[in-house]
Amino acid sequence: MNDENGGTRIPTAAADPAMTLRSTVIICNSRGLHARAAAKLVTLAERYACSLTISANGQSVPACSIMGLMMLGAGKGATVTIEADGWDAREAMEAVAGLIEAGFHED
Amino acid sequence: MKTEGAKPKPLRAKLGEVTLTGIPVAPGFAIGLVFDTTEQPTEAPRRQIAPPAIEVERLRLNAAIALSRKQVIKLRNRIGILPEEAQEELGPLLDAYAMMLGNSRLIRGARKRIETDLLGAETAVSDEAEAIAAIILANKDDDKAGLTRRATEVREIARRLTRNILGKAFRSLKDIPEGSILIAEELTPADAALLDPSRIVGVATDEGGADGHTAIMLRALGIPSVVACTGLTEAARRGDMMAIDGSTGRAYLHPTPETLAALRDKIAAFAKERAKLAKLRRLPAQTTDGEMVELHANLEILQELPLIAQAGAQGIGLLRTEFLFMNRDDLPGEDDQHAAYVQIVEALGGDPVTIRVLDWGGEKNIEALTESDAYTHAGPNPALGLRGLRMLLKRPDLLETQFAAILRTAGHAPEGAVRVLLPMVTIPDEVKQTREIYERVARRLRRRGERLPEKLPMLGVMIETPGAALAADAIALEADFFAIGTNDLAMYTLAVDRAEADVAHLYDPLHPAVLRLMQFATEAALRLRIPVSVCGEMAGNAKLVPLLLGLGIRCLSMNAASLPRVKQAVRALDITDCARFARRVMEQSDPARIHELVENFASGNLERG
Repeated sequence: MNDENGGTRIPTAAADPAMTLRSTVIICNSRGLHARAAAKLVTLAERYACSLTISANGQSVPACSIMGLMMLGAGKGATVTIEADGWDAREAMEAVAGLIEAGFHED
Repeated sequence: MKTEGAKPKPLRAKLGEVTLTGIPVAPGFAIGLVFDTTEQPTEAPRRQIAPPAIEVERLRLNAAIALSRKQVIKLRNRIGILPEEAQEELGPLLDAYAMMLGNSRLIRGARKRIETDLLGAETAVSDEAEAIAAIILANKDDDKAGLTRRATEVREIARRLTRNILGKAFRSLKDIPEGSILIAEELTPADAALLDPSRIVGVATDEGGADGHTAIMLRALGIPSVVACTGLTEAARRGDMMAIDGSTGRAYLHPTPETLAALRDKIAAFAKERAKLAKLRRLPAQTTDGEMVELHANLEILQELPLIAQAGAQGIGLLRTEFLFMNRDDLPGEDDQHAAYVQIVEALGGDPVTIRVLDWGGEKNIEALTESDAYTHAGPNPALGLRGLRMLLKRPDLLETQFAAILRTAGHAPEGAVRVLLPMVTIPDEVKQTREIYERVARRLRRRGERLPEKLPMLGVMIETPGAALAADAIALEADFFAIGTNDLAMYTLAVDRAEADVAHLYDPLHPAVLRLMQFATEAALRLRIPVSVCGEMAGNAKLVPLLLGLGIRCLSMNAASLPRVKQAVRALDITDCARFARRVMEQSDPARIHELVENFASGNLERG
């Protein structure tokens, strides 16, 4: 159990937008980004040092903010964009995209 | 079925049958007396505060957050005793609740509202929750039900907070008389986790939906239930006779004799289906050529005990003892453990019960151990760390207490009714060390005047790592029996944690490496003539029975629910065919080909003659 979700992340040195990894995935579990799925995503995102942002429906939230993720209202079939910036961005990106593509191991 | 309370109360004597239609969420039928559980409403009048009170309200909020977190964590620890399906449903949800009680937008927003809007803590929390819910609901998404569910999840945790701020009591689910039908306006998943299926025969609620967390919990608990029965709590009073049809979603209040008769017919049909299984239960697990196979059940929680007899198990092949350690603040003493073992061993009436000593590796589900110095930290790789017997050898006091409780149980049980199983053994010396402790405890008990069996119960070893499997010939010299745990064996052999999505597809107990290890361990046991069994998911898969029998296994331990199908499979097999089939499988090096062979054999396509 972590106290820090939704809290501030240490900004990464690489502010160069060209360094930011971006990838788009589609939510495929039937319940979408609801509380349990959001909790899994937060737990995963907290393992990485890079800054991770999830965007959908024109809003962007930090991947470690549970309320933020739920507020995106991303249901099944929604397209979400993941942005990762930091030294472990590539791994983080793969992990987060993998979790979403695996339907948060639900269904 | 209780009928003594059917006599209507004088004032309501004229009431005829009322049929309420809701959504069926858990099949089955129930006839019982209504037990209503009311929860004081959480709504409180809006409260403005004066600036000097800000600090007080902040403290009230903080105290409520701390209390709520404690409640959620406690519940998280408690769900270990629920059926697996229920755990999977509720566990991550409780994690989410715990996160929402952390430094989340809800909490930060509520704090801010206390300071800037000068609101009482409870008003601040509900305002912030409503604001978040409104944002969620305003999203453009076709799945309106999904958005509503998410909003409910936020409101749910906010309600828990406000309830704690206001010090209002939660729904009490204690002291419910046996045979009750529980009714409520709505049940939260947390409420559902606290239901006792042995007392509550049915559940009906005013609100709720078919795919809510609560519905899934009720299904997993196997309690016939109907939700979304509008007007139910208005109409029903405590002690009223009620019947529930969890398949059609109807609730009958004050059912007429005709309704009851019709329902009893349905119950009878349900029972008939069960009887079919029961018939199989009485038949021996014997192959067509007369070879007997022992079929045992695994037991994880005490509540499963009745299922074991129903399934026709000839014993408990794996009694996990972790449940004794969960949901309590202290460690279970010798007498506590003894009472539990006696209850189980007596229920089995002399059939063997294999008790596995505590298999724990630093998971958070045992508070008393997490908080004691037994386990300072779960290392970076708990699966390869201090777990199972390794931990117990570091904490011999735990092992001695458990051995003492088991040995005392064996002293009053028929010979052979109790066996002891050691988890996570990799070298023969661990068994030797453990046996020394075992015998020392026995000597101490005898000096104390306890009655112990002349011959101590057998001390067996779980074969669950490749190391143990390949050293099985040496370990067999120290052990009295083997139990091959296929789940962990496959995990360690293939270096795959099934919970890791990216590699889960690589998990395959039919991988030749796993099968070869099983074969090696089985042959080592057979050579030294010590019993060997297989427990784990493989044992409960009817399609794999021919392969396991062909490898020489004659004892399988599985979930009670799988047992009838496995027995059916055993009764259709011929040992010679199985042995030939196993030889063919063991020649293969390609897992895909092995799967194909198993499927073909199961569907009878393979030439068996």
